[in-house]
Amino acid sequence: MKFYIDDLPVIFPYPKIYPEQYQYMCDIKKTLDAGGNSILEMPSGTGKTVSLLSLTVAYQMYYSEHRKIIYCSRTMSEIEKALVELESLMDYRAKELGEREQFRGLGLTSRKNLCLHPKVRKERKGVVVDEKCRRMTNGQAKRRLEEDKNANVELCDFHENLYSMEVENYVPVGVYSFEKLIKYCEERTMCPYFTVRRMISMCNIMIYSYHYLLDPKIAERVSREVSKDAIVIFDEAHNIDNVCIESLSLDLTNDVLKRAAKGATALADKIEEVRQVDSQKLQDEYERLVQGLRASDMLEREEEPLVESPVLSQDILSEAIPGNIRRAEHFVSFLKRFIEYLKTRMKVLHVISETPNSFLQHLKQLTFIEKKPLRFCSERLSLLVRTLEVTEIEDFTALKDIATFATLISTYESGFLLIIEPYEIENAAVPNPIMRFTCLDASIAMKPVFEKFSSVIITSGTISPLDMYPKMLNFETVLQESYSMTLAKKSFLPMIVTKGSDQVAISSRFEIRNDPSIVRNYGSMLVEFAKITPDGMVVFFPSYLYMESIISMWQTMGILDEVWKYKLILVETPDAQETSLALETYRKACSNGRGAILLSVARGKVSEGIDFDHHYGRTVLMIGIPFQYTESRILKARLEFLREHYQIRENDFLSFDAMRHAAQCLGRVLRGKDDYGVMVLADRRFARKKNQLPKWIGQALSDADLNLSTDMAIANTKQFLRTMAQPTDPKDQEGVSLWNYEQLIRFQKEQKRKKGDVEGGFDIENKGTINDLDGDIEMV
Amino acid sequence: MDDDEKKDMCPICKTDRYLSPDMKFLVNPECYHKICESCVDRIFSLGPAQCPYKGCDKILRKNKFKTQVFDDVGVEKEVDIRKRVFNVFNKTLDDFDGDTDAYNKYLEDVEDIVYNLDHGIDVAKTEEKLRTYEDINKQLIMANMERSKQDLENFEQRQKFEKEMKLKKRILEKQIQEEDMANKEWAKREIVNQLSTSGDADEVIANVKKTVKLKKSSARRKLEELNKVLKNNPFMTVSNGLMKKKETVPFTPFNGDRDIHKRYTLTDSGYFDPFIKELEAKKEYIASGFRADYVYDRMLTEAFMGLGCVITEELQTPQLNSVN
Repeated sequence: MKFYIDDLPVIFPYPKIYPEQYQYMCDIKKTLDAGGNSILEMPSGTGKTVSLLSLTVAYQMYYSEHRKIIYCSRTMSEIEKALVELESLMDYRAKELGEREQFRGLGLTSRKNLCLHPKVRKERKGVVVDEKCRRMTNGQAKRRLEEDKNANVELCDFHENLYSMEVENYVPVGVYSFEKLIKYCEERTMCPYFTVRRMISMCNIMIYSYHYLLDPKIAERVSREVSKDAIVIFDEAHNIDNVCIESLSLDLTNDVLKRAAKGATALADKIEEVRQVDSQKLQDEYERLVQGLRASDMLEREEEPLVESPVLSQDILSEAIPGNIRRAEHFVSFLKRFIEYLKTRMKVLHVISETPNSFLQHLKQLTFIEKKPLRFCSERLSLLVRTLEVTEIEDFTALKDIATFATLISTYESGFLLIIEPYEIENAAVPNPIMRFTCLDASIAMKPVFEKFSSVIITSGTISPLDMYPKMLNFETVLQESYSMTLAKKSFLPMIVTKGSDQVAISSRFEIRNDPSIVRNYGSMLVEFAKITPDGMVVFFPSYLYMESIISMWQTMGILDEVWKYKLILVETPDAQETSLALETYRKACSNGRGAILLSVARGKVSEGIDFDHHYGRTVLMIGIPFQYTESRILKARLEFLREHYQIRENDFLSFDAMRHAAQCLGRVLRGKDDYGVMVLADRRFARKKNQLPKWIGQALSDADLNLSTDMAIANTKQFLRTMAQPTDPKDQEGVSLWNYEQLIRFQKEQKRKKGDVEGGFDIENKGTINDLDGDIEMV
Repeated sequence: MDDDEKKDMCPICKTDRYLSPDMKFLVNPECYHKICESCVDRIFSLGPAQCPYKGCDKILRKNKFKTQVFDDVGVEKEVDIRKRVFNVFNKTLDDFDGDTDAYNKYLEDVEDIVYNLDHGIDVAKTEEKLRTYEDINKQLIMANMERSKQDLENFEQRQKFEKEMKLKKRILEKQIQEEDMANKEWAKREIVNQLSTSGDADEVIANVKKTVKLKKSSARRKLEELNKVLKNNPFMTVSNGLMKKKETVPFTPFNGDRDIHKRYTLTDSGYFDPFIKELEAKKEYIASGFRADYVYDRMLTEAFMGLGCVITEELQTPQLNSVN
């Protein structure tokens, strides 16, 4: 269907639209017109992606600036889904407008998912794939081949073939999902990854993961050609602060240090060798450094540095590299000293947390290493490795980590903390010291994005409370909206259960969680829900430890045997393969009528990515509030930082974090308006947290359901499920939760009238509709 | 770390961790051979002796022994050499007046010296260079050493100060929270009490809320003050280093004697002051160097330099005059 928002023609690929989708699109248009940032919370399962895409594509095509769109999502499967949606949207647009528009849409993901080279793609770890690919595709190998025809270098055919074509002709105009792209490139022996990389500036819309925009190591290369007025959309962005923090954090262990020391010795040997064989290369490098050239001057345009710069581009000094690391030998001894210093620091007997400044001070006292040369560490290392043309350094990744660490710790003063822990887990017997360099401030990584792009839209299904994000990420919004689901009849039932049938309050508080009466209450609740829920049921626990302990207690109490009678029990484990097997079995059991329960963890893979729509998830049961491990030093440091700088209280932040994960878990079970489900929050502490739930859940939660005991909850559920089992008349939905074209126009006219628009007669909206009283004209 | 400790065995006395659990190892910067503490005591207490390692014939002294900081002996050796060299070559960027190219060249030369000494290249020449540099720049070296010590002290003081302030702030914040809660309780009770006596519910509630607000403001004021102190003081301790620099340069008005244009001329006939005129005649005064010109000169200089003139006072007096 086609309608107008103000003067913008929007083509929507479905004949009917939800009211909240229309609201959503209006608000997005407002944001784009105003040129600011906004946070929008849209309930899950209401077609968020299609509304986003249809509005932004219409905006881009209609207005003359043709602003490009960058759409960031979390996982590869979500990116793939978005690409497929976009493809169908473009097909519909072509049908509507009668002509195919010149529109390019591509998605980018890591080399591991896109590589076609038979040897490289077999590697299991992503880092190894990256390394091997880089070795074959950077200019060095090619140059060596040119100099010496019989050199033992390997080039990637898929990459080399790209040079024989013009960039515009790599792929024809259109939208390509990953499957389609890989098939197309396989037929023509082209490398999909580099194809997309090189075509970024020519795409109308780019879909990739957050890291390509936020992680300083990749963001520069990938996103530097994007213009300032591009529209940036972060989808499923409720965890975006964690992504920002992780992109600037680093962990080091003794293992890494040992390998790095070996790598440094190998480098020193190589320098010796090159010095004797062909000292001109080293001399050339030295001369250029003396002149004040930097890596950006010395590398060719398409060449990537072997060690990416881990700091934001605005924090890179624009001076010449300091004199004490210019000569290759000096630099290697510099590295060795730094590594040895780190080794001595690891020999602590208790936890130390210190600021970067005091670390640098101590470093200077002990080893005479100053702050400035450290800042150039990664750059110098990549230049050195390039000059030496080392093809196979086995411990190079460890050296890279050390160089990254050196650069990070010397560049940032505030907002970072160094924590040295002698034991990796509490109460471990064997000391396994680990040095954690953590970023505490999520706004550092986001800053360049907000500074460069004028319109950033952050959206998700569960992003309450909305005002926490502007505070944490330090940006202003022109619009903050939370939409509720319009429903003709109640299609999901949220309930807060605070006590068991024996009126004992149930909670997963750490002190009382292993109390037998509470465990029994949880168990009986599980049994009762298993009895009355059809098909599949999902249960979420706050942590693996708790899940394991409670399951073993249930086993001794005989509760699990009770549950077996009604449903199969499957468990999520930290191992990815086991979990996928469990999921497969779960789906099979749900589909063939046996019914199953999936016990999983609120912060695990299942809660983040897997959908339990329709019969796969009819009940979701949150056992306890999924707080983070509050004794972790990193979390404590972060809380303190938030308190000092943003005046966010610790309890507020912890509660906000827990509730967003809980809401995320609850949202798994609803995927569309015809889906129904029961959401049970089982903890006494939830009773006070109703307003921290997203708006669409909070609205459906009546006050009567805030403080239920197990038997009352069961009664409610039975009634609800019986109502749901009645066939619904689709006509009920029309006009209320689903609009067709006339209803939409009518709504628009209402809005205009409310605004006091007395313009009757011929306005743009009425162009397409004639007052149709007998209903025989459908739409334009 | 653990298996290193297990393998520890002193090559001289062959004790290991099992026989003496708190055995410690020392090295001597002469030859960097590892010896356990008891052996050091035993062999070197009576004076300098030869290193007990086979084939090493360096004479070692007991007071030169120290614990090894780094695992790698090579790095340990290099850091010791570096310490020696940097005690002499301790210039910073300020000494080059911000000329980064010259500073970088200097850094590179120092690195070369350390490298040569470490790898035994041209040792004699390098030592010579070290000595001559030391002799020439003794003053500068001393000054720089002073300054780096000062910097270290300032840094540590600032850290301590910040920590203390943070602690105080937290205590205050906690206090405010407790007060808030107590206020809420009190307000509830007061409302109930007052409602039992007076009739108008809204008035009662408004009154109670007002008193609560007054109570709140005192605690918040305290916190604001502390915040201000916190913001100002870290800058003070930072500028402590700068302030001390300013103190070493004394204040000279009018850029010292660069402003030699006096804004007045002293005529010979001068000023008639009977008292001074009398002194001019007296022999005792003239013999000790007293001249009337000096008096007038000084008075005029003081006046023109504005010494003894407080502007705020001057501004007040015209007002007084106008009142009068």
